[in-house]
Amino acid sequence: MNVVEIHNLAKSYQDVVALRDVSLTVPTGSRFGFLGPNGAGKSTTLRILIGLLRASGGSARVFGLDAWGESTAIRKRLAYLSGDARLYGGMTGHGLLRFVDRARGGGGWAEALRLCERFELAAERKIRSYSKGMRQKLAIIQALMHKPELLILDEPTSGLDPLMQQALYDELRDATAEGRTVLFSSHTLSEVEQLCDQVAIVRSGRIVEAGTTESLRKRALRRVVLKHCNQLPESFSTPEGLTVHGTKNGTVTGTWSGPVDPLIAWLSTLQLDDVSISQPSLEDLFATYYREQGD
Amino acid sequence: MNVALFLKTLRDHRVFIIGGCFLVVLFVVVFLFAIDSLPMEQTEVWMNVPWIKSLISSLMGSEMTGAFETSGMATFVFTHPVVLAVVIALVFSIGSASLVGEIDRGTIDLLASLPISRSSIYVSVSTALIACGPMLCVSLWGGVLIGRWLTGQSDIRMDDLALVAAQFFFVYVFLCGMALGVSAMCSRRQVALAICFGVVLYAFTVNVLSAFWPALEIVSYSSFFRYYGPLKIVEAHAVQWGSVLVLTVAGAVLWTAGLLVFRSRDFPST
Repeated sequence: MNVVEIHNLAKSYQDVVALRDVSLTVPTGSRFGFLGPNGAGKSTTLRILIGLLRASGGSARVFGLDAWGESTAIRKRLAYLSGDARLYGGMTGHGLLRFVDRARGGGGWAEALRLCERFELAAERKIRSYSKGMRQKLAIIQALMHKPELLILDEPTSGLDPLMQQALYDELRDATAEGRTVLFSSHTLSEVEQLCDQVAIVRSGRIVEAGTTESLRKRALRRVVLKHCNQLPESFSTPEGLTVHGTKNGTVTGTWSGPVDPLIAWLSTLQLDDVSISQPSLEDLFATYYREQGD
Repeated sequence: MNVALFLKTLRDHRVFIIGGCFLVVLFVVVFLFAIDSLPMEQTEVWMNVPWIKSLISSLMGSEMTGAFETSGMATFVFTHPVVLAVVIALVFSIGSASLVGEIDRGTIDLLASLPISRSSIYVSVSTALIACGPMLCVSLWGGVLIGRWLTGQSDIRMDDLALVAAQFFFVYVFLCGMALGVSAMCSRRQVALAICFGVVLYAFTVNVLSAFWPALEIVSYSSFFRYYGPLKIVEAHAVQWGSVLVLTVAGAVLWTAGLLVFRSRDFPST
């Protein structure tokens, strides 16, 4: 069962194409990471899902409902955190949470108080006196307080210190443990790697890869580090499948794509001080996708 | 309508609303003291200066002829530029802060992510703004009542002025319709305010100039001031229902246009 189903989604503003032919599904109960650099189209996709933007083409369905035509019904069951959380400066933190609670029909106040304590937020102060981090905490609390079935978070850890990031990760893990779903956009790959079990990579308005975080790592991509390769000439020939990212002080770093046998066969022809073949980080994955598909 | 949003809108602007009402009452009382302290002959001399006469007529909707009775003079407060400025500033401020202001500040992301339909957001904000109208009208009328009591001008006919206040409410309704309609269509608050104040300036200018150049009479029908005319109400002892209809329909058309745009527009990130 999928909470979110997007097919061939497109969005353009006059001459500017923000999204083209985006398709992805978010399974119920997953922590789904939506990865991409700034301006890739992550926020546009999320804003279409909650009905802030109307798609120019394709379809976006949340809980099986049309994201534009039935957005009010959808928003009863989800919460959204904007990428740049702007709040009502004249209100206190408690005032804002009370307003959100009333607008949602009540029932979230006790959870809001628990979350204020969890995130160490002084909610009795005026929001205009808050630092960026405090505003972000308040925005997170207003999104979490009603325990929605789907949480759509646009770069939620922006402005949070590491302790609070960890607190947020724990809350999101608890949410998915209860069967709720988290759709999470980020350009910080390590947090997606740490938190998400599903991931989609978006670039220039297109999905370039989607799958489980584990499957992406297993797509025969390996991080390779070769040390003290003194015998290697300035421009040495490498087997097809090895992408060299850098050569410094006799150390070559790169990524290997495909079955490892040819790599090992090639390595056996070299005289090396050390070799390391490891699972790639998403940073490597990301760089590889961009290098392959972009330039 | 969403009650939480309705109350939030009133709460956000409570200082401005209460301050506006207080200013109106204060000004009306001071104005009545000024009338009371002026010799009637002096007023007659001023009113016979042609350009002053034309200017006052354009604002009052009718010529102030014959004896300048206190009730007629008190009526002038309902069209005094200071009162109009306070009311217009209040309407445009709340109307723009609540819709285009949310978009401009980026707080629309929070508001529009709540389970409140766009129509409900628009109606809740509109209801809050309209609810301020009776407060302002009562403040105007109440100011006269207080001034009448303080100055002892017992010949001011409060029943006629109640009718003027009622018609003033429909001018207020028109202004609300325009402010909300324009606000819903814009993405920058300054632009929305510039358009609204531009319309008021146009309406005022056309209305005044038509009093000096009869050739502009036709054009003056496009000015909402044309459909107010408090002196006409006092003279007829009745609300001008034709004008009420024009103001209500014009306000409703602008309001509905705003609603249609607000329901279907994008809210891009700021």
